[in-house]
Amino acid sequence: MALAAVCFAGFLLMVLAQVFYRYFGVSMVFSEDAARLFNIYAVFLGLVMIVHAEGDVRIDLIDRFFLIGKRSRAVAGLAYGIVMLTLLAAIATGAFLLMRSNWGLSLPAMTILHQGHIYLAPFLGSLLSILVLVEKMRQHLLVCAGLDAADTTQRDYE
Amino acid sequence: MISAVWLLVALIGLLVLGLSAGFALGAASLGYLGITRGLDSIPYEIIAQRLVGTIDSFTLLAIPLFLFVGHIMNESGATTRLFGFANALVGHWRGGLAQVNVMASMLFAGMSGSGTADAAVLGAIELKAMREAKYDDRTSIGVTVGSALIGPIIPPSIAAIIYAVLAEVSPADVLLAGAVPGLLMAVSLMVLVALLARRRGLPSEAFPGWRALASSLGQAIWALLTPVILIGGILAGLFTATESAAIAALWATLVAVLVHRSIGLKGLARVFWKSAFDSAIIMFILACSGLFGWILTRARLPQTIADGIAGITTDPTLIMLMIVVFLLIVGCFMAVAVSLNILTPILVPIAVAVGMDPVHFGVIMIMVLVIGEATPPFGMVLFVMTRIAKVPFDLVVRASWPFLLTIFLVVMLVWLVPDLALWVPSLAR
Repeated sequence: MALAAVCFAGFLLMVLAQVFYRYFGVSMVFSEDAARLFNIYAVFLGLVMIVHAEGDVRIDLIDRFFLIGKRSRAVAGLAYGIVMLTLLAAIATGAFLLMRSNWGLSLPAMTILHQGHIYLAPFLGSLLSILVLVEKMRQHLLVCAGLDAADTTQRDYE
Repeated sequence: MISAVWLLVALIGLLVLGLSAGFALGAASLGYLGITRGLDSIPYEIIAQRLVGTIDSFTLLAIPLFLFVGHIMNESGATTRLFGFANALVGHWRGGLAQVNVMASMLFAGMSGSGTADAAVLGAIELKAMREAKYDDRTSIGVTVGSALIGPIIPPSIAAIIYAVLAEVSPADVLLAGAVPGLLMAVSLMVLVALLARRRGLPSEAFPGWRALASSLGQAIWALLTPVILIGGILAGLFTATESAAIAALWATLVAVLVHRSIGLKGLARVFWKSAFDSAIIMFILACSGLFGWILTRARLPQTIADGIAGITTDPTLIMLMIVVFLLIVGCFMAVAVSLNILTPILVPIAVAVGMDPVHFGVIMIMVLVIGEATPPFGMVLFVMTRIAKVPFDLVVRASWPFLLTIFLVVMLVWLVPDLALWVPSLAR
Protein backbone atom coordinates (compact mmCIF):
# COMPACT_ATOMS: atom_id res chain seq x y z
CA MET A 1 0.00 0.00 0.00
CA ALA A 2 2.75 2.39 0.95
CA LEU A 3 4.42 1.58 -2.36
CA ALA A 4 1.85 3.60 -4.27
CA ALA A 5 2.57 6.63 -2.10
CA VAL A 6 6.30 6.18 -2.66
CA CYS A 7 5.71 5.98 -6.42
CA PHE A 8 3.67 9.15 -6.17
CA ALA A 9 6.46 10.96 -4.36
CA GLY A 10 8.95 9.73 -6.96
CA PHE A 11 6.63 10.86 -9.68
CA LEU A 12 6.38 14.35 -8.15
CA LEU A 13 10.17 14.63 -7.96
CA MET A 14 10.52 13.58 -11.57
CA VAL A 15 7.98 16.11 -12.86
CA LEU A 16 9.84 18.83 -10.99
CA ALA A 17 13.11 17.55 -12.38
CA GLN A 18 11.57 17.78 -15.83
CA VAL A 19 10.61 21.41 -15.27
CA PHE A 20 14.07 22.28 -14.00
CA TYR A 21 15.55 20.49 -16.96
CA ARG A 22 13.56 22.63 -19.35
CA TYR A 23 14.18 25.96 -17.68
CA PHE A 24 17.61 25.70 -16.21
CA GLY A 25 19.25 23.43 -18.70
CA VAL A 26 20.20 20.92 -16.02
CA SER A 27 20.76 17.71 -17.89
CA MET A 28 18.01 15.34 -16.80
CA VAL A 29 16.63 14.03 -20.06
CA PHE A 30 15.36 10.92 -18.35
CA SER A 31 12.99 12.85 -16.07
CA GLU A 32 9.95 13.00 -18.37
CA ASP A 33 10.08 9.29 -19.09
CA ALA A 34 10.67 8.59 -15.42
CA ALA A 35 7.73 10.77 -14.36
CA ARG A 36 5.39 8.94 -16.71
CA LEU A 37 6.73 5.59 -15.61
CA PHE A 38 6.30 6.45 -11.92
CA ASN A 39 2.77 7.63 -12.64
CA ILE A 40 1.86 4.35 -14.33
CA TYR A 41 3.25 2.41 -11.38
CA ALA A 42 1.39 4.66 -8.91
CA VAL A 43 -1.87 4.07 -10.81
CA PHE A 44 -1.64 0.31 -11.04
CA LEU A 45 -0.41 -0.13 -7.49
CA GLY A 46 -3.15 2.29 -6.48
CA LEU A 47 -5.58 -0.05 -8.21
CA VAL A 48 -4.73 -2.64 -5.57
CA MET A 49 -5.70 -0.13 -2.86
CA ILE A 50 -8.93 0.70 -4.69
CA VAL A 51 -9.92 -2.94 -4.95
CA HIS A 52 -9.02 -3.38 -1.29
CA ALA A 53 -10.96 -0.32 -0.06
CA GLU A 54 -13.78 -0.62 -2.64
CA GLY A 55 -13.16 3.09 -3.21
CA ASP A 56 -14.05 3.30 -6.89
CA VAL A 57 -16.81 5.55 -8.25
CA ARG A 58 -20.05 3.64 -8.64
CA ILE A 59 -23.81 4.02 -8.76
CA ASP A 60 -25.35 2.53 -5.63
CA LEU A 61 -29.01 2.49 -6.71
CA ILE A 62 -29.30 -1.27 -6.30
CA ASP A 63 -27.70 -1.20 -2.85
CA ARG A 64 -30.15 1.37 -1.59
CA PHE A 65 -33.29 -0.38 -2.69
CA PHE A 66 -32.62 -4.09 -3.01
CA LEU A 67 -29.46 -5.20 -1.29
CA ILE A 68 -30.49 -4.62 2.26
CA GLY A 69 -29.65 -7.96 3.73
CA LYS A 70 -26.14 -9.06 4.48
CA ARG A 71 -26.40 -12.16 2.35
CA SER A 72 -27.77 -10.42 -0.74
CA ARG A 73 -24.88 -7.97 -0.52
CA ALA A 74 -22.45 -10.83 -0.39
CA VAL A 75 -24.04 -12.40 -3.48
CA ALA A 76 -23.75 -9.08 -5.33
CA GLY A 77 -20.16 -8.77 -4.13
CA LEU A 78 -19.43 -12.19 -5.60
CA ALA A 79 -21.04 -11.24 -8.92
CA TYR A 80 -19.00 -8.02 -9.15
CA GLY A 81 -15.96 -10.01 -8.12
CA ILE A 82 -16.35 -12.45 -11.02
CA VAL A 83 -16.62 -9.63 -13.58
CA MET A 84 -13.67 -7.76 -12.06
CA LEU A 85 -11.59 -10.93 -11.88
CA THR A 86 -12.19 -11.64 -15.58
CA LEU A 87 -11.08 -8.16 -16.56
CA LEU A 88 -8.03 -8.21 -14.27
CA ALA A 89 -7.02 -11.61 -15.67
CA ALA A 90 -7.27 -10.23 -19.21
CA ILE A 91 -5.15 -7.22 -18.26
CA ALA A 92 -2.56 -9.41 -16.56
CA THR A 93 -2.38 -11.71 -19.60
CA GLY A 94 -2.01 -8.84 -22.04
CA ALA A 95 0.53 -7.08 -19.87
CA PHE A 96 2.53 -10.28 -19.54
CA LEU A 97 2.56 -10.86 -23.31
CA LEU A 98 3.63 -7.27 -23.96
CA MET A 99 6.21 -7.45 -21.22
CA ARG A 100 7.76 -10.53 -22.82
CA SER A 101 7.80 -9.11 -26.33
CA ASN A 102 9.14 -5.70 -25.29
CA TRP A 103 11.69 -6.80 -22.75
CA GLY A 104 14.67 -6.20 -25.03
CA LEU A 105 13.70 -2.73 -26.25
CA SER A 106 15.18 0.04 -24.19
CA LEU A 107 13.36 3.31 -23.56
CA PRO A 108 14.52 6.25 -25.69
CA ALA A 109 15.90 8.29 -22.82
CA MET A 110 16.48 5.72 -20.10
CA THR A 111 18.74 2.97 -21.28
CA ILE A 112 18.78 1.13 -17.96
CA LEU A 113 15.07 0.41 -18.23
CA HIS A 114 13.27 -1.47 -20.97
CA GLN A 115 9.85 -1.00 -22.57
CA GLY A 116 9.01 -4.17 -20.74
CA HIS A 117 9.30 -2.40 -17.42
CA ILE A 118 6.30 -0.25 -18.37
CA TYR A 119 4.10 -3.29 -18.71
CA LEU A 120 5.43 -4.78 -15.53
CA ALA A 121 3.23 -2.17 -13.76
CA PRO A 122 -0.18 -3.34 -15.03
CA PHE A 123 1.00 -6.94 -14.70
CA LEU A 124 1.98 -6.55 -11.05
CA GLY A 125 -0.99 -4.31 -10.28
CA SER A 126 -3.61 -6.62 -11.73
CA LEU A 127 -1.97 -9.69 -10.24
CA LEU A 128 -1.93 -8.19 -6.74
CA SER A 129 -5.50 -6.94 -7.23
CA ILE A 130 -6.55 -10.47 -8.14
CA LEU A 131 -5.08 -11.73 -4.87
CA VAL A 132 -6.92 -9.06 -2.86
CA LEU A 133 -10.12 -9.73 -4.77
CA VAL A 134 -9.94 -13.49 -4.24
CA GLU A 135 -9.63 -12.94 -0.50
CA LYS A 136 -12.65 -10.61 -0.57
CA MET A 137 -14.67 -13.14 -2.57
CA ARG A 138 -13.74 -15.87 -0.13
CA GLN A 139 -15.28 -13.78 2.65
CA HIS A 140 -18.40 -13.16 0.56
CA LEU A 141 -18.66 -16.91 -0.06
CA LEU A 142 -18.47 -17.60 3.65
CA VAL A 143 -21.31 -15.15 4.23
CA CYS A 144 -23.39 -16.78 1.49
CA ALA A 145 -22.86 -20.16 3.03
CA GLY A 146 -23.81 -18.70 6.40
CA LEU A 147 -20.44 -19.69 7.77
CA ASP A 148 -19.13 -16.27 8.64
CA ALA A 149 -17.88 -15.84 12.12
CA ALA A 150 -19.70 -12.61 12.94
CA ASP A 151 -16.71 -10.92 14.54
CA THR A 152 -14.24 -11.40 11.69
CA THR A 153 -16.26 -10.08 8.76
CA GLN A 154 -18.80 -7.76 10.33
CA ARG A 155 -16.51 -4.77 9.77
CA ASP A 156 -16.96 -5.05 6.00
CA TYR A 157 -20.70 -4.72 6.10
CA GLU A 158 -21.10 -1.73 8.30
CA MET B 1 -22.95 -1.88 -35.95
CA ILE B 2 -25.78 -3.39 -33.93
CA SER B 3 -23.19 -4.91 -31.65
CA ALA B 4 -21.65 -1.49 -30.95
CA VAL B 5 -25.01 -0.32 -29.64
CA TRP B 6 -25.02 -3.42 -27.44
CA LEU B 7 -21.65 -2.33 -26.14
CA LEU B 8 -23.24 0.88 -24.85
CA VAL B 9 -26.24 -1.02 -23.48
CA ALA B 10 -23.92 -3.45 -21.67
CA LEU B 11 -21.92 -0.56 -20.21
CA ILE B 12 -25.04 1.23 -18.93
CA GLY B 13 -26.35 -2.07 -17.58
CA LEU B 14 -23.14 -2.79 -15.66
CA LEU B 15 -23.07 0.77 -14.29
CA VAL B 16 -26.68 0.67 -13.12
CA LEU B 17 -26.13 -2.74 -11.55
CA GLY B 18 -23.50 -1.06 -9.41
CA LEU B 19 -20.19 -2.23 -10.83
CA SER B 20 -17.58 0.48 -10.32
CA ALA B 21 -17.00 2.76 -13.29
CA GLY B 22 -13.51 1.69 -14.36
CA PHE B 23 -14.31 -1.99 -14.22
CA ALA B 24 -17.65 -1.48 -16.01
CA LEU B 25 -15.89 0.26 -18.90
CA GLY B 26 -13.22 -2.41 -19.07
CA ALA B 27 -15.58 -5.36 -18.71
CA ALA B 28 -17.99 -4.08 -21.35
CA SER B 29 -15.06 -3.65 -23.76
CA LEU B 30 -13.68 -7.08 -22.96
CA GLY B 31 -17.09 -8.66 -23.46
CA TYR B 32 -17.47 -6.89 -26.80
CA LEU B 33 -14.08 -8.10 -27.99
CA GLY B 34 -14.87 -11.61 -26.82
CA ILE B 35 -18.17 -11.71 -28.71
CA THR B 36 -17.07 -10.06 -31.94
CA ARG B 37 -13.70 -11.79 -32.27
CA GLY B 38 -14.37 -15.11 -30.61
CA LEU B 39 -13.18 -16.12 -27.18
CA ASP B 40 -9.89 -17.65 -28.35
CA SER B 41 -8.74 -14.58 -30.25
CA ILE B 42 -9.25 -11.80 -27.72
CA PRO B 43 -6.38 -9.36 -28.37
CA TYR B 44 -4.97 -9.26 -24.84
CA GLU B 45 -1.94 -7.26 -25.92
CA ILE B 46 -4.17 -4.51 -27.31
CA ILE B 47 -6.16 -4.40 -24.08
CA ALA B 48 -3.06 -3.86 -21.95
CA GLN B 49 -1.54 -1.54 -24.53
CA ARG B 50 -4.65 0.68 -24.68
CA LEU B 51 -4.87 0.84 -20.88
CA VAL B 52 -1.26 1.87 -20.43
CA GLY B 53 -1.10 3.98 -23.60
CA THR B 54 -4.01 6.15 -22.48
CA ILE B 55 -2.49 7.18 -19.17
CA ASP B 56 1.09 7.32 -20.47
CA SER B 57 0.82 11.02 -21.32
CA PHE B 58 2.61 14.05 -19.98
CA THR B 59 -0.58 16.15 -20.11
CA LEU B 60 -2.45 13.80 -17.80
CA LEU B 61 0.27 14.15 -15.18
CA ALA B 62 -1.47 17.42 -14.27
CA ILE B 63 -4.31 15.45 -12.65
CA PRO B 64 -2.33 13.88 -9.77
CA LEU B 65 -0.54 17.21 -9.30
CA PHE B 66 -3.81 19.16 -8.97
CA LEU B 67 -5.10 16.57 -6.50
CA PHE B 68 -1.87 16.93 -4.54
CA VAL B 69 -2.17 20.72 -4.35
CA GLY B 70 -5.77 20.48 -3.09
CA HIS B 71 -4.89 17.88 -0.46
CA ILE B 72 -1.87 19.73 0.85
CA MET B 73 -3.92 22.95 1.14
CA ASN B 74 -6.47 21.13 3.27
CA GLU B 75 -3.90 19.24 5.32
CA SER B 76 -1.83 22.36 6.10
CA GLY B 77 -4.79 24.45 7.24
CA ALA B 78 -4.66 26.82 4.26
CA THR B 79 -8.38 26.22 3.81
CA THR B 80 -9.13 27.67 7.25
CA ARG B 81 -6.92 30.70 6.58
CA LEU B 82 -8.74 31.33 3.28
CA PHE B 83 -12.06 31.20 5.11
CA GLY B 84 -10.74 33.69 7.68
CA PHE B 85 -9.71 36.10 4.92
CA ALA B 86 -13.05 35.79 3.10
CA ASN B 87 -14.81 36.38 6.41
CA ALA B 88 -12.92 39.61 7.11
CA LEU B 89 -13.52 40.74 3.53
CA VAL B 90 -17.26 40.21 2.98
CA GLY B 91 -18.57 39.00 6.36
CA HIS B 92 -20.08 42.40 7.18
CA TRP B 93 -22.36 42.35 4.14
CA ARG B 94 -25.98 41.37 4.62
CA GLY B 95 -26.18 37.58 4.73
CA GLY B 96 -22.48 37.85 5.56
CA LEU B 97 -21.50 34.24 6.13
CA ALA B 98 -23.39 33.13 3.01
CA GLN B 99 -21.33 35.60 0.99
CA VAL B 100 -18.19 34.41 2.78
CA ASN B 101 -19.15 30.88 1.78
CA VAL B 102 -19.20 31.77 -1.94
CA MET B 103 -16.06 33.89 -1.67
CA ALA B 104 -14.04 31.22 0.17
CA SER B 105 -15.14 28.53 -2.28
CA MET B 106 -14.17 30.73 -5.20
CA LEU B 107 -10.71 31.37 -3.72
CA PHE B 108 -10.26 27.70 -2.95
CA ALA B 109 -11.38 26.82 -6.49
CA GLY B 110 -8.14 28.45 -7.61
CA MET B 111 -6.24 25.69 -5.81
CA SER B 112 -8.44 22.65 -6.05
CA GLY B 113 -9.61 20.83 -9.12
CA SER B 114 -12.71 19.02 -7.91
CA GLY B 115 -16.10 19.91 -6.46
CA THR B 116 -16.35 17.07 -4.00
CA ALA B 117 -12.99 17.77 -2.38
CA ASP B 118 -14.20 21.32 -1.88
CA ALA B 119 -17.54 20.27 -0.41
CA ALA B 120 -15.93 17.88 2.02
CA VAL B 121 -13.33 20.04 3.78
CA LEU B 122 -14.22 23.66 3.12
CA GLY B 123 -17.95 22.81 3.17
CA ALA B 124 -17.63 21.44 6.69
CA ILE B 125 -15.92 24.64 7.89
CA GLU B 126 -18.49 26.87 6.14
CA LEU B 127 -21.47 24.94 7.39
CA LYS B 128 -20.22 24.89 10.97
CA ALA B 129 -19.67 28.68 10.98
CA MET B 130 -23.12 29.36 9.50
CA ARG B 131 -24.88 27.08 11.96
CA GLU B 132 -23.13 28.70 14.89
CA ALA B 133 -24.32 32.09 13.63
CA LYS B 134 -27.90 30.73 13.56
CA TYR B 135 -28.42 30.68 9.81
CA ASP B 136 -31.31 28.46 8.72
CA ASP B 137 -30.21 25.11 7.28
CA ARG B 138 -31.89 25.80 3.95
CA THR B 139 -29.65 28.79 3.26
CA SER B 140 -26.47 27.30 4.70
CA ILE B 141 -26.73 23.97 2.90
CA GLY B 142 -27.94 25.45 -0.37
CA VAL B 143 -25.15 27.98 -0.65
CA THR B 144 -22.50 25.43 0.35
CA VAL B 145 -23.68 23.02 -2.36
CA GLY B 146 -23.88 25.80 -4.95
CA SER B 147 -20.47 27.26 -4.18
CA ALA B 148 -18.84 23.81 -4.18
CA LEU B 149 -19.62 23.58 -7.89
CA ILE B 150 -17.28 26.48 -8.67
CA GLY B 151 -14.28 24.25 -7.86
CA PRO B 152 -14.13 22.20 -11.06
CA ILE B 153 -14.72 25.25 -13.32
CA ILE B 154 -12.05 27.72 -12.17
CA PRO B 155 -8.55 26.43 -13.00
CA PRO B 156 -7.02 24.15 -11.84
CA SER B 157 -9.59 21.67 -13.04
CA ILE B 158 -9.26 17.94 -13.38
CA ALA B 159 -12.31 17.83 -15.64
CA ALA B 160 -10.65 20.31 -18.03
CA ILE B 161 -7.56 18.10 -18.34
CA ILE B 162 -9.63 14.98 -19.02
CA TYR B 163 -11.69 16.82 -21.62
CA ALA B 164 -8.63 18.35 -23.30
CA VAL B 165 -6.91 14.98 -23.65
CA LEU B 166 -9.98 13.19 -25.03
CA ALA B 167 -11.07 16.05 -27.31
CA GLU B 168 -7.48 16.58 -28.47
CA VAL B 169 -7.43 20.31 -27.74
CA SER B 170 -4.88 22.33 -25.78
CA PRO B 171 -5.22 21.66 -22.04
CA ALA B 172 -4.04 25.20 -21.29
CA ASP B 173 -6.90 26.61 -23.41
CA VAL B 174 -9.59 24.53 -21.69
CA LEU B 175 -8.18 25.38 -18.25
CA LEU B 176 -8.07 29.12 -18.94
CA ALA B 177 -11.49 29.07 -20.63
CA GLY B 178 -13.03 28.13 -17.27
CA ALA B 179 -11.72 31.22 -15.48
CA VAL B 180 -14.37 33.79 -16.45
CA PRO B 181 -17.35 31.37 -16.34
CA GLY B 182 -16.18 30.29 -12.87
CA LEU B 183 -15.98 33.89 -11.66
CA LEU B 184 -19.41 34.55 -13.18
CA MET B 185 -20.79 31.60 -11.22
CA ALA B 186 -19.43 33.10 -8.02
CA VAL B 187 -20.78 36.57 -8.80
CA SER B 188 -24.24 35.25 -9.71
CA LEU B 189 -24.36 33.18 -6.52
CA MET B 190 -23.44 36.28 -4.52
CA VAL B 191 -26.24 38.24 -6.20
CA LEU B 192 -28.66 35.43 -5.35
CA VAL B 193 -27.45 35.44 -1.74
CA ALA B 194 -27.97 39.21 -1.57
CA LEU B 195 -31.57 38.76 -2.80
CA LEU B 196 -32.24 35.88 -0.40
CA ALA B 197 -30.66 37.82 2.47
CA ARG B 198 -33.39 40.46 2.19
CA ARG B 199 -36.21 37.94 1.84
CA ARG B 200 -35.03 35.57 4.55
CA GLY B 201 -33.70 38.30 6.84
CA LEU B 202 -30.20 36.86 7.13
CA PRO B 203 -27.83 38.29 9.75
CA SER B 204 -24.44 39.88 9.10
CA GLU B 205 -21.15 39.99 10.99
CA ALA B 206 -19.55 43.10 12.39
CA PHE B 207 -16.75 44.56 10.25
CA PRO B 208 -13.55 43.49 12.05
CA GLY B 209 -11.62 46.62 11.00
CA TRP B 210 -8.92 47.20 8.42
CA ARG B 211 -6.16 45.91 10.65
CA ALA B 212 -7.87 42.54 11.08
CA LEU B 213 -8.52 42.40 7.34
CA ALA B 214 -4.85 43.07 6.62
CA SER B 215 -3.71 40.45 9.13
CA SER B 216 -6.06 37.80 7.69
CA LEU B 217 -4.77 38.68 4.23
CA GLY B 218 -1.24 38.22 5.53
CA GLN B 219 -2.25 34.77 6.78
CA ALA B 220 -3.82 33.77 3.50
CA ILE B 221 -1.54 35.51 1.02
CA TRP B 222 0.81 32.54 0.51
CA ALA B 223 -2.05 30.25 -0.37
CA LEU B 224 -3.65 32.95 -2.50
CA LEU B 225 -0.50 33.17 -4.59
CA THR B 226 -0.94 29.56 -5.73
CA PRO B 227 -3.60 30.31 -8.38
CA VAL B 228 -1.65 33.42 -9.38
CA ILE B 229 1.42 31.29 -10.12
CA LEU B 230 -0.63 28.58 -11.77
CA ILE B 231 -2.79 30.71 -14.03
CA GLY B 232 -0.18 33.44 -14.49
CA GLY B 233 2.42 30.90 -15.58
CA ILE B 234 0.14 29.46 -18.25
CA LEU B 235 -1.13 32.88 -19.37
CA ALA B 236 2.36 34.27 -19.76
CA GLY B 237 3.25 31.25 -21.86
CA LEU B 238 5.97 30.31 -19.36
CA PHE B 239 4.65 26.87 -18.52
CA THR B 240 2.49 24.17 -20.03
CA ALA B 241 -0.50 23.04 -17.94
CA THR B 242 1.44 20.13 -16.44
CA GLU B 243 4.51 22.20 -15.65
CA SER B 244 2.51 24.93 -13.95
CA ALA B 245 0.75 22.22 -11.92
CA ALA B 246 4.17 20.94 -10.84
CA ILE B 247 5.32 24.44 -9.85
CA ALA B 248 2.08 24.96 -7.91
CA ALA B 249 2.64 21.65 -6.13
CA LEU B 250 6.18 22.67 -5.20
CA TRP B 251 4.96 26.10 -4.04
CA ALA B 252 2.16 24.63 -1.94
CA THR B 253 4.61 22.20 -0.31
CA LEU B 254 7.15 24.94 0.43
CA VAL B 255 4.47 27.20 1.93
CA ALA B 256 3.09 24.40 4.09
CA VAL B 257 6.48 23.18 5.28
CA LEU B 258 8.54 26.38 5.51
CA VAL B 259 6.14 29.32 5.98
CA HIS B 260 3.34 27.90 8.08
CA ARG B 261 5.26 24.93 9.46
CA SER B 262 1.87 23.31 9.82
CA ILE B 263 2.66 20.00 8.21
CA GLY B 264 5.06 17.32 9.38
CA LEU B 265 6.53 14.30 7.66
CA LYS B 266 3.53 12.27 8.74
CA GLY B 267 1.10 14.79 7.29
CA LEU B 268 3.08 14.92 4.08
CA ALA B 269 3.01 11.13 3.81
CA ARG B 270 -0.76 11.24 4.31
CA VAL B 271 -1.05 13.80 1.50
CA PHE B 272 1.00 11.56 -0.81
CA TRP B 273 -1.17 8.60 0.08
CA LYS B 274 -4.48 10.40 -0.45
CA SER B 275 -3.33 11.92 -3.73
CA ALA B 276 -2.10 8.56 -4.99
CA PHE B 277 -5.42 6.93 -4.07
CA ASP B 278 -7.62 9.61 -5.67
CA SER B 279 -5.43 9.81 -8.72
CA ALA B 280 -5.46 6.02 -9.17
CA ILE B 281 -9.27 6.04 -9.14
CA ILE B 282 -9.48 8.69 -11.86
CA MET B 283 -6.59 7.28 -13.89
CA PHE B 284 -7.94 3.73 -13.86
CA ILE B 285 -11.28 4.98 -15.19
CA LEU B 286 -9.35 6.94 -17.83
CA ALA B 287 -7.29 3.90 -18.75
CA CYS B 288 -10.36 1.71 -19.19
CA SER B 289 -12.17 4.42 -21.11
CA GLY B 290 -9.16 4.53 -23.44
CA LEU B 291 -9.89 0.92 -24.34
CA PHE B 292 -13.61 1.64 -24.56
CA GLY B 293 -13.06 4.70 -26.76
CA TRP B 294 -10.81 2.70 -29.07
CA ILE B 295 -13.59 0.16 -29.61
CA LEU B 296 -16.21 2.90 -30.08
CA THR B 297 -14.11 4.55 -32.76
CA ARG B 298 -13.45 1.27 -34.58
CA ALA B 299 -17.17 0.52 -34.51
CA ARG B 300 -17.77 4.02 -35.92
CA LEU B 301 -20.35 4.70 -33.22
CA PRO B 302 -19.77 8.48 -32.93
CA GLN B 303 -20.43 8.89 -36.67
CA THR B 304 -23.53 6.74 -36.46
CA ILE B 305 -24.94 8.81 -33.61
CA ALA B 306 -24.03 12.03 -35.42
CA ASP B 307 -25.80 10.78 -38.55
CA GLY B 308 -28.81 9.83 -36.44
CA ILE B 309 -28.99 13.33 -34.98
CA ALA B 310 -28.52 14.89 -38.42
CA GLY B 311 -31.53 12.82 -39.51
CA ILE B 312 -33.71 14.47 -36.83
CA THR B 313 -32.62 18.06 -37.26
CA THR B 314 -29.82 20.10 -38.77
CA ASP B 315 -30.48 23.27 -36.80
CA PRO B 316 -27.28 23.93 -34.76
CA THR B 317 -29.15 25.58 -31.87
CA LEU B 318 -31.59 22.70 -31.60
CA ILE B 319 -28.77 20.15 -31.72
CA MET B 320 -26.87 21.99 -28.97
CA LEU B 321 -30.04 22.21 -26.92
CA MET B 322 -30.52 18.45 -27.30
CA ILE B 323 -26.93 17.87 -26.21
CA VAL B 324 -27.31 20.13 -23.14
CA VAL B 325 -30.54 18.41 -22.06
CA PHE B 326 -28.93 15.03 -22.65
CA LEU B 327 -25.88 16.04 -20.55
CA LEU B 328 -28.14 17.30 -17.77
CA ILE B 329 -29.88 13.93 -17.65
CA VAL B 330 -26.61 11.99 -17.80
CA GLY B 331 -25.15 14.26 -15.11
CA CYS B 332 -27.97 13.28 -12.76
CA PHE B 333 -26.74 9.69 -12.87
CA MET B 334 -23.00 9.70 -13.43
CA ALA B 335 -19.91 11.34 -11.93
CA VAL B 336 -18.30 14.07 -14.04
CA ALA B 337 -15.09 12.10 -14.70
CA VAL B 338 -17.06 9.08 -15.91
CA SER B 339 -19.46 10.94 -18.20
CA LEU B 340 -16.60 13.01 -19.63
CA ASN B 341 -14.69 9.84 -20.40
CA ILE B 342 -17.57 8.16 -22.16
CA LEU B 343 -19.17 11.11 -23.91
CA THR B 344 -16.32 13.42 -24.97
CA PRO B 345 -15.28 11.25 -27.95
CA ILE B 346 -18.93 10.94 -29.02
CA LEU B 347 -20.14 14.51 -28.57
CA VAL B 348 -17.15 16.62 -29.61
CA PRO B 349 -17.32 15.65 -33.31
CA ILE B 350 -21.04 16.51 -33.30
CA ALA B 351 -20.45 19.88 -31.64
CA VAL B 352 -17.64 20.72 -34.04
CA ALA B 353 -19.83 19.71 -36.99
CA VAL B 354 -22.47 22.28 -35.97
CA GLY B 355 -19.79 24.96 -35.78
CA MET B 356 -18.97 25.08 -32.04
CA ASP B 357 -15.44 25.79 -30.90
CA PRO B 358 -14.28 22.61 -29.10
CA VAL B 359 -12.83 24.64 -26.21
CA HIS B 360 -16.09 26.57 -25.79
CA PHE B 361 -18.05 23.33 -25.98
CA GLY B 362 -15.75 21.80 -23.37
CA VAL B 363 -16.51 24.54 -20.85
CA ILE B 364 -20.27 24.15 -21.39
CA MET B 365 -20.05 20.36 -21.20
CA ILE B 366 -18.06 20.47 -17.96
CA MET B 367 -20.38 23.08 -16.39
CA VAL B 368 -23.55 21.13 -17.25
CA LEU B 369 -22.06 17.86 -15.98
CA VAL B 370 -20.86 19.58 -12.81
CA ILE B 371 -24.43 20.74 -12.08
CA GLY B 372 -25.26 17.02 -12.22
CA GLU B 373 -22.96 16.50 -9.21
CA ALA B 374 -25.62 18.30 -7.16
CA THR B 375 -28.82 16.87 -8.65
CA PRO B 376 -30.71 13.84 -7.40
CA PRO B 377 -30.74 10.86 -7.55
CA PHE B 378 -26.92 10.60 -7.71
CA GLY B 379 -24.83 13.63 -6.97
CA MET B 380 -21.53 13.29 -5.14
CA VAL B 381 -21.83 16.79 -3.69
CA LEU B 382 -25.32 16.02 -2.36
CA PHE B 383 -24.10 12.81 -0.74
CA VAL B 384 -21.14 14.57 0.86
CA MET B 385 -23.42 17.37 2.14
CA THR B 386 -25.96 14.92 3.53
CA ARG B 387 -23.12 13.25 5.41
CA ILE B 388 -21.42 16.34 6.85
CA ALA B 389 -24.65 18.25 7.61
CA LYS B 390 -26.33 15.16 9.08
CA VAL B 391 -29.71 16.09 7.55
CA PRO B 392 -32.10 14.10 5.34
CA PHE B 393 -31.14 13.83 1.66
CA ASP B 394 -34.34 15.52 0.43
CA LEU B 395 -33.65 18.60 2.58
CA VAL B 396 -30.29 19.05 0.85
CA VAL B 397 -32.01 18.69 -2.53
CA ARG B 398 -34.69 21.25 -1.68
CA ALA B 399 -32.15 23.67 -0.26
CA SER B 400 -29.95 23.51 -3.36
CA TRP B 401 -32.27 24.10 -6.30
CA PRO B 402 -32.34 27.94 -6.37
CA PHE B 403 -28.54 27.90 -6.43
CA LEU B 404 -28.41 25.26 -9.17
CA LEU B 405 -30.89 27.24 -11.27
CA THR B 406 -28.67 30.32 -10.95
CA ILE B 407 -25.64 28.34 -12.11
CA PHE B 408 -27.64 26.96 -15.03
CA LEU B 409 -28.46 30.52 -16.10
CA VAL B 410 -24.72 31.21 -16.14
CA VAL B 411 -24.24 28.15 -18.38
CA MET B 412 -26.81 29.54 -20.81
CA LEU B 413 -25.05 32.90 -20.76
CA VAL B 414 -21.68 31.29 -21.50
CA TRP B 415 -23.29 29.35 -24.34
CA LEU B 416 -24.78 32.50 -25.90
CA VAL B 417 -21.64 34.61 -25.43
CA PRO B 418 -18.70 32.37 -26.43
CA ASP B 419 -16.18 35.11 -25.67
CA LEU B 420 -16.85 34.67 -21.95
CA ALA B 421 -15.02 31.36 -22.28
CA LEU B 422 -12.69 32.08 -25.18
CA TRP B 423 -11.37 35.51 -24.24
CA VAL B 424 -8.82 34.44 -21.60
CA PRO B 425 -7.29 31.63 -23.72
CA SER B 426 -6.95 34.12 -26.58
CA LEU B 427 -4.79 36.30 -24.32
CA ALA B 428 -2.32 33.49 -23.85
CA ARG B 429 -1.56 33.28 -27.57
